Amino acid sequence: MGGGLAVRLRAVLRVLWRRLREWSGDSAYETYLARAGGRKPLSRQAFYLDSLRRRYSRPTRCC
Amino acid sequence: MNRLVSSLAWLAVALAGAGALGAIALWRGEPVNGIFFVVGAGCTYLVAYRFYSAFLAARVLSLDATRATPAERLDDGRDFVPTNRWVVLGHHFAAIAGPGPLVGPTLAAQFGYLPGTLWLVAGAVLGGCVQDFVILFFSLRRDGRSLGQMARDEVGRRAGLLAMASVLAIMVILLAVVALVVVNALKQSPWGAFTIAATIPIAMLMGLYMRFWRPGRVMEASAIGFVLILLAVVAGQWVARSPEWAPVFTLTGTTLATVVIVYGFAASALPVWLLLAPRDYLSAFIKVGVVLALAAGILLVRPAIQMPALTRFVDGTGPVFAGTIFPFCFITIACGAVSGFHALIASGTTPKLLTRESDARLVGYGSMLMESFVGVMAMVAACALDPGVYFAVNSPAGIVGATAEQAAATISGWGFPLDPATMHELARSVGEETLLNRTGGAPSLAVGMAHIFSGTIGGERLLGIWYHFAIMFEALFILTVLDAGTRVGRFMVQELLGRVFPRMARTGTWTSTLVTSGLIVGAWGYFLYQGVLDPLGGINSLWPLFGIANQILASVALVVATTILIKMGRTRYLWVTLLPTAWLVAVTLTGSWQKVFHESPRIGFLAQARSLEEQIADGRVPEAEAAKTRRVVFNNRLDAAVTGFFALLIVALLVEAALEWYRILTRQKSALLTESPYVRTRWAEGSP
Repeated sequence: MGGGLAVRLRAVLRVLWRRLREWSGDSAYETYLARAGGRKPLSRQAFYLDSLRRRYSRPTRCC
Repeated sequence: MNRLVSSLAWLAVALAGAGALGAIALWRGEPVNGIFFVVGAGCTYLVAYRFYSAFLAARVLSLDATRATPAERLDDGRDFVPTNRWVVLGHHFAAIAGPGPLVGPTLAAQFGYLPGTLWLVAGAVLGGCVQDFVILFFSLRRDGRSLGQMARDEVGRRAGLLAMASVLAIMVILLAVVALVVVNALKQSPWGAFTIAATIPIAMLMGLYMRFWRPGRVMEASAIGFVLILLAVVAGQWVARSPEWAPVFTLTGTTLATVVIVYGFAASALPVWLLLAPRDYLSAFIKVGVVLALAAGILLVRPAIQMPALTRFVDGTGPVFAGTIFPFCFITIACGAVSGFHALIASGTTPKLLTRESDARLVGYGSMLMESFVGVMAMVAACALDPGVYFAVNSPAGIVGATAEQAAATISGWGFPLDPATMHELARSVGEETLLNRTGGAPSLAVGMAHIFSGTIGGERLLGIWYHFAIMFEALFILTVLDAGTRVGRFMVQELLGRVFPRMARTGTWTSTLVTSGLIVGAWGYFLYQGVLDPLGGINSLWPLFGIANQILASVALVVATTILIKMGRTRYLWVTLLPTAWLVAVTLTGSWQKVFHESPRIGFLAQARSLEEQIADGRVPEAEAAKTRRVVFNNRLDAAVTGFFALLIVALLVEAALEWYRILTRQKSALLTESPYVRTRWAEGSP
């Protein structure tokens, strides 16, 4: 019973951690790589700089 | 049976909400508790989300769960990425929640807690949430097109140009006013100025970490930055006590304004990875964390509300800003109830992330409910303060006097007893020389938050640390708005100038970057500087101007949405957008008219200019002050012109849109929508 609860709790925490990484942008490169398919993907650094350039060229933060 | 249980449960939620709101509206005598605000607002949000947003989703917009979203059709792992709806909700909330819902309700608390609280709740569920939801949905059906593009495509070319002009003008006033809030919070405060100055090298260190050492590792860099910022908050008290360092960080309003202007220019011109992005990451984490902590603090401390339901200042003579409840309470609350700026976010990144059309309800309507709740919490924090203290912190020296004794005498005379020793003691307990005349809302909110936080952890001993943590939190994300806004403003100026001088359109060239950065920073910097010099505190003129601009942008968004609803043939549901539009137009046009033409010099810009000119002519202004007063006269006329320009913008757009509505409704013109074609989602039969 106790073990089952621990397993469930670990699973919940894992999901929360994954969502937090998605929210913060920490896992953006992994998401991009998974979709790159046959194309030659950008390096992690190039992807990071490219995503910043695109993000900050339009309103991103509000009043 | 289940249906009966569900109906009874919703009836209970509705009754609890109505009971709590009824209590805060009608309760007199014993102070009402802050918990009533949380329950009243929370239950109203639940009922509105469950029923009104469901009605909007099903009947008005007809969200189609079988239709593929742009994120699914155009999935590229970069701009278009199908994302979990709770993650998108977090993204969207972090993007829309800025200083507005914190500062606006704090300023509007001068009318008492009731008018502002009722508008925060009612304005959000019937206006702000509707605007955010419909614009998000319409942009979703158009592959994430911006508000300006939708105005051009659906209403007409002139409407597109008017929308773009209003966005740029609003951006300038917004940046000026938020910069003024920071200046007023940090002037003569070595602790605060040191902490905020320290965020610049901390952000740069994070920037280098994510650029060179561990590219894109946002969580690691943010954790490092957060620890360093906490150290800076703690170290600030030693700087404030140091005879060598305290004078270096003790800055006047005009010096701070110059520093902020130079900083804004640098942040706009520097590479985005070095300062803007790392500060933005850090600010997003701290913002969401503090909002959750404030909610927990209010639930744990359950502060009693000291402010009366209505104050004597409902007559328009308020010291924080002048003007009656209608229209100025609604203009001042701004973002916490309805924010036009949200339409820019809802028609940008967010629609490119939604996995299903139905997610637009949670993200669009739900995130604005959260923002409204932030506004209600700010109202609770401001009204939990002793009203005498609230007015002493938020009133300009020109009205209550510059010393604690003068301020206490004036404010006690208004019926809010205040002992000068209370102000000295409060300033000492938060590590400041003085808390008087800090107009702008941030310091009084920080005092309120510090009381709530210290009631949970640390007690009186940690009041200073909590106060400066709250100031750091507010200044951090205000500066993020300043950086990001200046940069976007620069791109807009580049695009506009590029139509005349093609060289200027090249965003990568140094000449173009420096010229356009200088133009946008010069524009908001001018309004900031005049605000600092304004004898009435600057907030009195700039915040209403910002509120009018923001609500006009909301009207623009709702007019575009109404046009699309007409084209969709949903004329029987037009009231969902037309009623908030009519209200906002009434508020903004009345507000604009009064700010320009009102005979009271504290309300009308032209009356203020005339009054000052008369004082100069009568020799009542000392020779040494004459040049400065003439500048204030000019600035008042400029503010009048800007307000008039805003009013003309919305009138022009309304005429343009009304003609288009007439042509479509009388079938002189076919109702052509520019939606992307229907594609069936591959997730229609099951979960992704």
